[in-house]
Amino acid sequence: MIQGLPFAHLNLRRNPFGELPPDARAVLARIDAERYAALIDSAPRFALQFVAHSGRGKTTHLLALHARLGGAYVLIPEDGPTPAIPAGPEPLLIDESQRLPRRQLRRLFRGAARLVLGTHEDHSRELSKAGRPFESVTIAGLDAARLRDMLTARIEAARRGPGPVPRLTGPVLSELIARHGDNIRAIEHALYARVQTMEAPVEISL
Amino acid sequence: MAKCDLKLIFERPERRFIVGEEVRGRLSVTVNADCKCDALTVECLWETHGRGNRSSGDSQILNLFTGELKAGETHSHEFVFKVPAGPVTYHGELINIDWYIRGRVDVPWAIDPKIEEDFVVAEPEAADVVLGGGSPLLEPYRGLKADALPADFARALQAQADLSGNPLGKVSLVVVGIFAAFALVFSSIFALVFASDFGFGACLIPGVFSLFVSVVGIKMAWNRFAQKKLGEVEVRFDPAPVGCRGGDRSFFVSFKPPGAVQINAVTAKVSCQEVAVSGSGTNKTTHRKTLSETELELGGARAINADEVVVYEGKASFPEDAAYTFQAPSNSVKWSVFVRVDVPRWPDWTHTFPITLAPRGIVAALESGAPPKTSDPRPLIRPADPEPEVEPAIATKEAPPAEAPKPEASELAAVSAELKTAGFSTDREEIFKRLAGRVWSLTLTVESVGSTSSFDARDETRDGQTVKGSAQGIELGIQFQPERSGEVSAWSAGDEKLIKAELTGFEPLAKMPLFTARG
Repeated sequence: MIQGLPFAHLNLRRNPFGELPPDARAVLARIDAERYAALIDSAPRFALQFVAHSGRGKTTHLLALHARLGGAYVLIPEDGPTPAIPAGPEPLLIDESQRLPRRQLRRLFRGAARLVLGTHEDHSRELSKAGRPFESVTIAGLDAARLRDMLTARIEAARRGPGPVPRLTGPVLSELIARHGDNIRAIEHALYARVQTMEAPVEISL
Repeated sequence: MAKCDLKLIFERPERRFIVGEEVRGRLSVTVNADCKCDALTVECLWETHGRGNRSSGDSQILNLFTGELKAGETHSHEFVFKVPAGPVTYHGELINIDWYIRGRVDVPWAIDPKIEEDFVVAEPEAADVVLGGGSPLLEPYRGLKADALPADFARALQAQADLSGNPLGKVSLVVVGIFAAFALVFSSIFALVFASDFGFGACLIPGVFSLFVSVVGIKMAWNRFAQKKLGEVEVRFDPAPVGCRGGDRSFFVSFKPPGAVQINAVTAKVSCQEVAVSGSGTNKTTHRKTLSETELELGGARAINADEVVVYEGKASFPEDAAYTFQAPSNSVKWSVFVRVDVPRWPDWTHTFPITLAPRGIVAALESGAPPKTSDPRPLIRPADPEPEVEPAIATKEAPPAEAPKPEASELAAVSAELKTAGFSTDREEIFKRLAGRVWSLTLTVESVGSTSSFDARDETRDGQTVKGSAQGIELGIQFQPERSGEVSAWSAGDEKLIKAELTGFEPLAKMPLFTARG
């Protein structure tokens, strides 16, 4: 069986909608990183929390800010031991912070480091109690323009060379939002399956 | 503008190589601005992409240059890598496996200029390859023993070995009975105590609990029920549960029932499935895709006498374009044979047997049965033979030939690369567990010495010193116990120290492995 270079028939290096490693997600994220960075730097002990359901882009926001600001990024797993949360580097970016044991969460909020939290649960009450200045951002909602921006960035990042690549039209974008709402992960999964079967770099259809 | 622009050119423009061949090429660096280069590296590795988290392996790294880069210079370095025995390039539904050459200029305190180009690795195509024969196409696989197999096959074989010792189905019926009885008693007491307070609800929870425990227990002992009528059922692959593309593999299902028994049928299903895992924790999703499935009827309805030995033969056939078995974190391609002995009005006997589909050379190595030879101790990486060319714009720079790294050095580079590409902290934890207890001998060139401070530092190194530097071309940190602070504080940048240390962490900001000093 002869294999060629991957996705060369689409002028791509890989399926643009496959799972991305964290550093690639950070680079491709379409978020207002400058505005959030300014917020984080606005006061000592400032905490910025992104509250959203799964698949809406919390982790992407954190990874993008980590790439922009440095600091330490820690993902709290559901199972297994809680990883060490380092002291020193700032800000501390804690993904899935709602999984931290209550005692450790209180200790973290009482600390001095600036925080960026990705969470399913709103920590506003605990942050207030710890005397931290903070802002909550709820990640929800998606429009066709923003979706086009995000998905086009993914396609361009997978481009192999000059020339046409698979592209998305307005009606397809609207249909994706109609089917999946603001669940970006579900949209990516749907497009992954579609691109896997494409034979030429034309418009992506559903 | 980046400090440098990189270009990768393969000697073979079509970029297609056979296992065991050499991948030759050239990495060119055009310098746009003066900068320090801690390491100009070229790396050869495979990586998965698709629905699952990315996995990678078989990394080979060459350090081509360290020093100062001046604006206007162009450096050109040749590289040579030998393609290992696998995995071969694969493009499936959920999983793709591709090989890459990656060039990188490690510029301190700046974004590293990088380049990546993919290439194809294929199995030797030869219809006349004879298993175990003297064909030169089998040369890359000669002398392979289990721990020198490509890592993905070694993992697949280990998974097979683990499954063959599957405790499920070996649970005693007595144990199931005791467990179910306990659940029933507990539930009854709960209902009696709380019935007056909660009424029907008091019965619902323990009732569901009892049912759950009973179902789990019965499922675990299902085959034990079946073997009451069939006796011990054995499945044997001849000569081993391995196969090749375009080939067949025979297997035999045999049993000797203790009493007369009627069976409806003996069937087998040979299937291949891709399994890809994306995300982690509650965000983890397992994606599955069945690539092929073939039903075989090994025998129809019949009556069997007590103590009569019955043997059924089946043949698993693999098409020419079958996907090879592959096993990596978050990505796997699995072949299996599901056998069912259908007993009327009684639990059927069922079991799934993994089977490894491998290139012919690896199958030959697995089937040879001869005492394995020691695998070649020389590293797979060879230095570039000719002197590298330099096209200076301002000054001439002569690049020294790349040295073949020592075996532990290439392993250190591979582990460092694995830690860097691990997307999640849980993936890194797996690496630490794998290497727990291993003591490395590191010749460290000291860059800086500072206090170890961490919110949740390891107890043994809290209040000690951390030394950052490089060993065998890899940037890393070593944390020392407090009692060595006096000794370590006296070290200066540029000092070379031989240190024994264990891999215990990863610094995400500096993207470097962290070690703890040992002795």
